[in-house]
Amino acid sequence: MNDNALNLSVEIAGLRLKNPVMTASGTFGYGEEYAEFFDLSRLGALVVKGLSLRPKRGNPTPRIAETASGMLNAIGLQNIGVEEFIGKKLPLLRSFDTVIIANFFGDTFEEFIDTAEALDRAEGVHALELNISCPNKQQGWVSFGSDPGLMRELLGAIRAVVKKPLIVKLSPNTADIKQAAVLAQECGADALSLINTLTGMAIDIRRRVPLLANNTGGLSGPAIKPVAVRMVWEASNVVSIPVIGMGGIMNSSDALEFLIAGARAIAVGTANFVNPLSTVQIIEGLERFMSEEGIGDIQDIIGSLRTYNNARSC
Amino acid sequence: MHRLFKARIVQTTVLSGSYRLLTLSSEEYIRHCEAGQFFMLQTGSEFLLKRPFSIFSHRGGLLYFLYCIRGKGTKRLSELREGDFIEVLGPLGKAYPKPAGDFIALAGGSGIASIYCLLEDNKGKGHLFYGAKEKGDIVLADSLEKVSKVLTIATEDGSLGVKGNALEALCSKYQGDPPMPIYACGPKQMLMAVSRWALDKGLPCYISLEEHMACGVGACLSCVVETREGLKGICKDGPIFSAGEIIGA
Ligand SMILES: Cc1cc2nc3c(=O)[nH]c(=O)nc-3n(C[C@H](O)[C@H](O)[C@H](O)COP(=O)(O)OP(=O)(O)OC[C@H]3O[C@@H](n4cnc5c(N)ncnc54)[C@H](O)[C@@H]3O)c2cc1C
Ligand SMILES: Cc1cc2nc3c(=O)[nH]c(=O)nc-3n(C[C@H](O)[C@H](O)[C@H](O)COP(=O)(O)O)c2cc1C
Ligand code: FES
Repeated sequence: MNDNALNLSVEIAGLRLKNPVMTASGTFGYGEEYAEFFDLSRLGALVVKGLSLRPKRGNPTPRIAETASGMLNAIGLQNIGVEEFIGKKLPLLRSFDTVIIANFFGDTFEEFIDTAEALDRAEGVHALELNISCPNKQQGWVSFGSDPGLMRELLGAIRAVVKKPLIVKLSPNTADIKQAAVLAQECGADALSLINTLTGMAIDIRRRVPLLANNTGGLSGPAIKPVAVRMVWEASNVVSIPVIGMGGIMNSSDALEFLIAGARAIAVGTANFVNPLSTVQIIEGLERFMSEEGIGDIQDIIGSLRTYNNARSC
Repeated sequence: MHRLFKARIVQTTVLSGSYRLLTLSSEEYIRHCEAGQFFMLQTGSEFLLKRPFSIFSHRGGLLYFLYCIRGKGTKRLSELREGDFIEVLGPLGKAYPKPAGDFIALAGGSGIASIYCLLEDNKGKGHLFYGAKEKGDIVLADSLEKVSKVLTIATEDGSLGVKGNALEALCSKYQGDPPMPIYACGPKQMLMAVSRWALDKGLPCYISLEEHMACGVGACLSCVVETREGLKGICKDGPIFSAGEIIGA
């Protein structure tokens, strides 16, 4: 098959992505860090590090620890704040022909709203991704994604001020991802992204202290992929809005699992640290797969999973 | 300009019980790497994250790293053989400012790696104070003798050179003010102490900091340090900092 004939483009919340490969928030900085490695215009979308109204200092170090097939992080949402992002980082990002998505969060209800409003006004930000799932916060919002009442209240208030597409990023640290997915859709989310990191811990057995200064952190990387695929499959079965899948995607085969499970697009996180060219290689891998399989349009892959119908609980 | 590439292991040398020298084939584009910069090296395919190591030497199209076996990754690195390939990312970070004339170099333990590079690139100008726990941990003394102007070795148990740590040796030698800038790499405690000493005397002092790293390029925000201008990334804004910048120094 002629590669030029391949259609990899997907639509998320009214935005056309040239391919389904995005970067995961917090793993790609503000884009500039990776602009030296490849042309960022090749990305389907670029999601920047989580932003808050004011700059945030984050947690003490060590902030990361490697674990089997994964890593724990407790960065603590350090970021430069919305104003500096718009003034200093966005101009460069605007020069790339890709969709720019601003991930954001707040410590208080008001901060969430103010941040959302500022980003909604910012020229060059195409969509917002609401992080209600960061497991590193100690100030009480932790349970926020898993508290349906709070989530409904907050999402409603944010939806009321955001005109741009609003993506809600879900936490895997919940008993039932389907419930969270349905709730987010009901509250007006245009798309969902999942999963964020799974809360974990690792210990230095000689010193008998946690490896992270924050004691616990978020687990990412290949170790969480099976959990992520399952959750993406479950969520995409119960909502009609698009699902963006992520969690341990290292190569195009991993990406395909998510797409087949029902994800309309995928995001690459920890893999960027391992190989700065991961996203580009995944795009190329998807093209190769489609050529080999004689598939002209990526739509024919998305949600194409054929499940067994004799499955019971494990 | 930094890049990711597969480097061939040209040579592995055992220097002592826990110290190794690793020689890698370089790439055309690395014409310009400087003392103080580092690379992220893959240590084994079972590890997701690469480990940061300072450039020990860059000569004749080869890259040299001197490392101490500390944990799982460095252990694995020591098991690799000539002809094996490892993925490397670099050169990364900021270099030591080029010394204009004579300078003092202070190295503790594996901190000798970046200091050697500085001495080699500025032959015959460095007054080196090099300390370790014991004789067995002092490596490449002959080569160091050749690249430095004056070499003072210190061991904590006194088994080689003067007894005590390298900073004590430095301080006792220069009771007055040495009219030279100081370059230091080693344990954090030593770096903070030498920084205070230098600041006190009004001497320029450059230190090489370490922190756990994932990306090496400033994207993950795992390797931060508190400076007078706020948090900075050790991988991108460092690892070399001026002593005056660092809070706690
Ligand atoms: C800029 C820089 C330059 C360095 N240069 C040298 C050098 O030239 N020679 C040398 O022997 N060592 C050097 N180090 C320290 C070296 O990176 C660690 O000893 C090494 O990462 C330990 O890995 P491990 O898997 O054996 O240890 P483990 O304890 O098993 O490592 C677990 C994780 O913690 C990280 N880690 C543990 N200790 C350190 C540390 N001190 N600094 C950074 N990350 C750490 C590892 O990278 C790994 O991700 C340097 C560190 C930095 C930041
Ligand atoms: C170092 C690091 C920082 C992260 N920061 C954020 C963040 O600021 N906001 C957010 O929504 N998710 C953040 N995440 C979560 C990732 O976007 C992603 O959901 C998760 O890591 C799973 O994907 P992966 O396994 O491919 O990394 C971060 C992850 C890592 C590893
Ligand atoms: S290692 Fe990622 S920011 Fe320094």
